[in-house]
Amino acid sequence: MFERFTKQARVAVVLAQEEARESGADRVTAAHLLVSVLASLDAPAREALAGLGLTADGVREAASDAVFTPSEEEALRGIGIDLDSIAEAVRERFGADVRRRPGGRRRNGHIPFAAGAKKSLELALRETIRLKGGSIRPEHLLLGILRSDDPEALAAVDRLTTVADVRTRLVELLGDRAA
Amino acid sequence: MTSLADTAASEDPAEGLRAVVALRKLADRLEAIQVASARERGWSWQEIADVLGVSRQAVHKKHGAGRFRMPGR
Repeated sequence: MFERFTKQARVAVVLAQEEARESGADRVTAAHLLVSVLASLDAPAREALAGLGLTADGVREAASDAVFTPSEEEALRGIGIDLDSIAEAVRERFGADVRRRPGGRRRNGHIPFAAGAKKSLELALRETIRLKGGSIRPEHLLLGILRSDDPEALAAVDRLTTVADVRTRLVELLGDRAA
Repeated sequence: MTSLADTAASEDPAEGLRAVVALRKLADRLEAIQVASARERGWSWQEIADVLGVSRQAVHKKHGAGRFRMPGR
């Protein structure tokens, strides 16, 4: 399947695994793939999507299971609340992490692709065929993710912009390229 | 590091409001963790509700139904 991928698209798939590893996940999810694909787009496409509010950093933050943003942790310090001490006390007594939402992920050595990410890759191929593209570009990967119904990835997109707007823009971008 | 008193008295509303949001999140996370712990120790929803000062229905709706486990483990 990967022989039809452009170099950029292959890089995106490799980077998705790095994205998962760095967030301490035990699966490469469609959301990890979304972040790496956005980072792998060429500048015009990346800027077009940034114009809609969709960026790699935005998705990373929106899909994160962190409770507090860095600026919120800073604001807590500002009013004299030491989150480190609280987190430490809670971990000791309850074994829970106040900084993460329930259902926190676990770290693992080997990181396989989750069902939503696999489905996204398959759907990217279908989108490429449907749009009569020769090879699978990062834009096609994005369309595949948007078609995948992966709740986490789509929720992250929804928080930043709308799925319909992104899809329309991507089809335009691919059309411009073909023209 | 700036003195805590200085920052606490910061006139920047954005900074102060962010602290309020973060406090609410912190309270929510601590509530979830404490309620799960109380349930593990055999507390009834009514007992938990009494201490939290809310109705039993409210606490059950927020923390019950399949959420009876230690969050964030």
